[in-house]
Amino acid sequence: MANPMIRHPLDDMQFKAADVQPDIALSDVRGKSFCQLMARRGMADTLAQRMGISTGAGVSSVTDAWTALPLSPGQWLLIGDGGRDGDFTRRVTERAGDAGYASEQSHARNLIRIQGLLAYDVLAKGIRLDLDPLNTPVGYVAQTVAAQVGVTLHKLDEQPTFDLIVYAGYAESFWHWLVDASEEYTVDTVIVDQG
Amino acid sequence: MSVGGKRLDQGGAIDRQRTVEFTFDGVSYNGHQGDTLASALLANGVRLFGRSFKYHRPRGLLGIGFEEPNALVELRSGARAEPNTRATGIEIFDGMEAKSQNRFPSLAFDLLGVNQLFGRFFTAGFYYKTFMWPAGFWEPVYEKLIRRAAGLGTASRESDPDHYEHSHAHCDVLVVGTGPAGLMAALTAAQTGARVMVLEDRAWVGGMLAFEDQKIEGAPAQTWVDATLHQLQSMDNVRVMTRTTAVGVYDGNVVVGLQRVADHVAEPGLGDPRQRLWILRAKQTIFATGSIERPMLFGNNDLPGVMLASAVRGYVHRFAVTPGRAVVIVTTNDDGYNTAFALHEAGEPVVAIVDARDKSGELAKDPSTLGIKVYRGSLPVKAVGWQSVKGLVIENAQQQRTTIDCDCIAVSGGFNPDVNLYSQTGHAPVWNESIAAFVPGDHRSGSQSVGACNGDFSLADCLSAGAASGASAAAVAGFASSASGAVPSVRGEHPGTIAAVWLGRSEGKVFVDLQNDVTAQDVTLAEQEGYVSVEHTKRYTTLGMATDQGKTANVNGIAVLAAARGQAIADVGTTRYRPPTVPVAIGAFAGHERGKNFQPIRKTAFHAWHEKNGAVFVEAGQWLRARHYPLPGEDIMAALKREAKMVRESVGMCDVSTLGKIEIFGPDAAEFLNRLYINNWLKLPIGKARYGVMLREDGYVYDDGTTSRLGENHFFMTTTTANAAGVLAHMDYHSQVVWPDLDVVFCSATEQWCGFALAGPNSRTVLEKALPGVDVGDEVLPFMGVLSTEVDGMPVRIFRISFSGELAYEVNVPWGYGVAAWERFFAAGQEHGIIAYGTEALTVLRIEKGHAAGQELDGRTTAADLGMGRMASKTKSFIGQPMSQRAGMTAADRPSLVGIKVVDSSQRLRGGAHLFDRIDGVDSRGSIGWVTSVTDSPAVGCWIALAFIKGGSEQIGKRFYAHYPLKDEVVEVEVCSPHFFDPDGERLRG
Repeated sequence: MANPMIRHPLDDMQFKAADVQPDIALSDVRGKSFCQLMARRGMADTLAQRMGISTGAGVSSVTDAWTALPLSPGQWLLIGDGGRDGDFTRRVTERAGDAGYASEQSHARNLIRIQGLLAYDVLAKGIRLDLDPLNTPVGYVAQTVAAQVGVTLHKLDEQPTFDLIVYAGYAESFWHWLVDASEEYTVDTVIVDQG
Repeated sequence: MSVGGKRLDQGGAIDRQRTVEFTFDGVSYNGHQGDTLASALLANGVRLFGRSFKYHRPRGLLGIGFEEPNALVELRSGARAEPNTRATGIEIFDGMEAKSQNRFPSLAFDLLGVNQLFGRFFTAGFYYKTFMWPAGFWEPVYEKLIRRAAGLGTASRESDPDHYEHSHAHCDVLVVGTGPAGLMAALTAAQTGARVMVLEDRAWVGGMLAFEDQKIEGAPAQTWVDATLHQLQSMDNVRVMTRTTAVGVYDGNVVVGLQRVADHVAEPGLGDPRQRLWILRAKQTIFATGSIERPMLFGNNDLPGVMLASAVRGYVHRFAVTPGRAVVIVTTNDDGYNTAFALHEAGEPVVAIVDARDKSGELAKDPSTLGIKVYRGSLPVKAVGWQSVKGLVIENAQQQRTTIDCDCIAVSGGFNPDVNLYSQTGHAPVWNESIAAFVPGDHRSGSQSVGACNGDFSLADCLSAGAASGASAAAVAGFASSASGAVPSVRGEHPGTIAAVWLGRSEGKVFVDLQNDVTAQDVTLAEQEGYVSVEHTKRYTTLGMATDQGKTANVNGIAVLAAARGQAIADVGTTRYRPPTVPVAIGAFAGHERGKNFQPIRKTAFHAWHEKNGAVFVEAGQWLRARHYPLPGEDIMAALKREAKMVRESVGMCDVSTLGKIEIFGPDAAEFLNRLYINNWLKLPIGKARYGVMLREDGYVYDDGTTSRLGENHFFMTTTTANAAGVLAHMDYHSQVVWPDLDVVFCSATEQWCGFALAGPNSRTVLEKALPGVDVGDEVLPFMGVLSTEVDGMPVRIFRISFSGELAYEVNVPWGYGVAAWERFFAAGQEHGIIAYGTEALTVLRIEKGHAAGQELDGRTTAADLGMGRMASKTKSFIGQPMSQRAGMTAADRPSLVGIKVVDSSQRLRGGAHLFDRIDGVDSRGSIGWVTSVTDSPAVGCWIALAFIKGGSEQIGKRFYAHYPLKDEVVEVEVCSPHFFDPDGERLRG
């Protein structure tokens, strides 16, 4: 069970389920672990191989242990289960061995999930990228800006479901924008604790 | 003769079953669903819509679309009141309130109409010539007078209750306009599978077809429009957006569209924005924006009742309204005849057709068989009437004049392709003599013009050119054409030539720009006064500078200027059109980003605690930082002094989470730091922190902070709050570009770790109590020592560093533990009266210690200026080192950091004051230094400051004068060491 002493960035937000079938579901997904994995000079391929992930840009790699979102050549944001205070980063560090380093980011990031066909319309209110299903296969990853907040975006399925990962300090501001942008539709706002 | 407009008994695309009630100037009227404010008022016999800008002349409707210069009204009331909306574009709704503008006290009787009597004085450049002297009158007298007299409409002073938003979209082919060319282009492009977006200004599609009674494939054109729209809307790759105006074209085929989501209803629906600004990125853009009919130049051509002929026809066909009961058509081309035929078919009398030509083209009907008299080879001289048209004086080639009684003059001076968006792409339109109009020339890559906006005025040409452009645009975007290419058939047209008539034989005041009250005489005068360039004429006369951007004025104005210059119109050219094509509410540009959403708010992990404990916040970039925590009745000065005093005497806690934090890994991490910072890093032991200064490449100080060694190949850097992102980018650049050989990686950890300073003589006691079982004694955690530990499952990093000059620690915990850790330490400090202190007290404490911060690290100071020159290593190279050795950077007379304090302790200091060696006669050239950071120091007992002064420490003990001209203050000060408090640092070593 999560430690009640430990705060989440959206603790002060109000969440409410829609009265009718929602067009959009917004979730504050808790309980994930994050770290930034960085390959040592010239060792990106070795590290990727060791971690079981791809060096390709713009598409995630999913393994049993983690999901890797490419950030830049030789750098990934790794997402795992087990909560913010588990040993995820230690396990990643061990697997990386001498090929790279992992920086603990579990508390630094907040994962917000948006689901529903109208998610494209909501995201288009802030995101400049072409998110048309034709151009965004499942696993699509991009780093961009929405409502002046840096966001790492990951498409999970064709429903569609997008994960939006922002820094903790910006989470409230970003959440406010996302709720405002969804306001013309029926929207569910919920906390999903996967810890 | 009955006068004015009326609703016809049948026809139109209005819903006669649905009556809509609205008011204009407080009078109630009825219209029908589908009416615009303009058509509904016309149907009610209203002819007077507003007063003109300068002369307050009565004005009626001229057009039917966004070209309308006259019929501007204030819509709605209260906070939602919006001035300068075009009656021709407003869809009426129940309860709508509209008011005329620019009149006092009423539209029918306007006192400022007296301006007309002084019209001869209000010529081009009137303001420049009249309000020249005395200069002292400009602001208090003239500006107020001009502001009262000028401008159209009144903006609401209340806050707009609606919200606006932006939206982004991408497509392969963007089509602007849904006339025959636009629809055909969209359909053809869409059939290739390309993603197509279509923008239409109106609530309906069809462009001019909606105003005509033309036939396509033998059926009414509307049938084809409906079928085509249905076909487009059934395709997944097409998005048709009505009520959306393309207002700007930018580089990279970015087009901005304004969608009026809720302008046609009283209030936006729940959650709906009022308007949405679309930022559209298209691979190919097709402009199919149509054309705008040109008014004609003759005396009193601004009288209510003078209208564009195509608009008159449009009101008949679309809205079943005739604007007049005795209409005269004045035309230079065949299209004017179509208006006569439309009125005749509607059973309305057409008094006469005045044709500037001797011969028309092949017409659909013979006017004489309809009983319509045609005056060939004749031109209008002047309209007759006071508040509205009562007649028209014309003159034939033999200079014989005839006066025709009428209540409406429908004019057609030809058609101007709407090249506004085209012109915004940076290309200049070119003159086409055969249609007497400017047409697009070369196009920017990725865009094309088609249909009437390209000078193709026949329906058949529009359809075929539309199909061709749709196919070619899709092909360039990567979609091979699989379309059938079938272009619907229409009856052949054989229009005659156009007579390019400009000033003609006019008499009296001839208006070129109706909205800005610019006359042909003004344009001629501007030319005489030397404003011969079309761009200069525009600015001198204000031709084309009103909210309509001169849509009906520009070409006539250019023609008058060309005549005055004795040149061809082609040689004069057009001005460059600029966005937006129609007025856009500021709210639409701002979108979500206004009020509290102006910029994102970044909160530290402790924010909830600060809020609960009465903090007053200050914005630091996007961060909200606790500035001070006032007790009841305390002002900011009392609070910061109390907080600073408590830190000096006991213990306090301050949120320092906003400092940038960067984790650095790799075997070359130490070498990397060695090159970033001016001081040495190779031998920093594990578990120790060091203060570092880094320079920019130009040798000036960039940033400072402490960096700790957590492992052999693991460092933890802190930066200033302001430079957190910049320093990371600076490191990225040097790692990737300058030293790609270094085996080092790094990333931001600013948000992973939150931190607070625990400072004061009792800080160690509090630390020990908060972390039972953790040894934090001098042996384990000496000054500049670092300790990583864990307590009750909470990871903790403790850095023994001090910004306050007291025994102090910076405690870092992961973000989520922030409040719990803060509360734990705060509880542990209760017995010592622990307080939270904000950024104000933090500043007091650091000034007392002489620590430089943002005011001193302003990008213009060297390390030596800051008294840190000796930190710079002479045994290694580092960023900025070569440039820091330039003569100017090492000059002996550079102002350097000192402390100053007031001589008279009752006086105060101000940041930004300049230092002089004399009390009077100062100017900036005599300044020998300046004051950066000031505070009323509780420790020293008077105002103290950090300052830069020539001679630096050599001036210690000398007295100068701090001048602050903004408040006319002069204060005598004494130079001292910047280390006001505990200069030997005994306290921080505990």
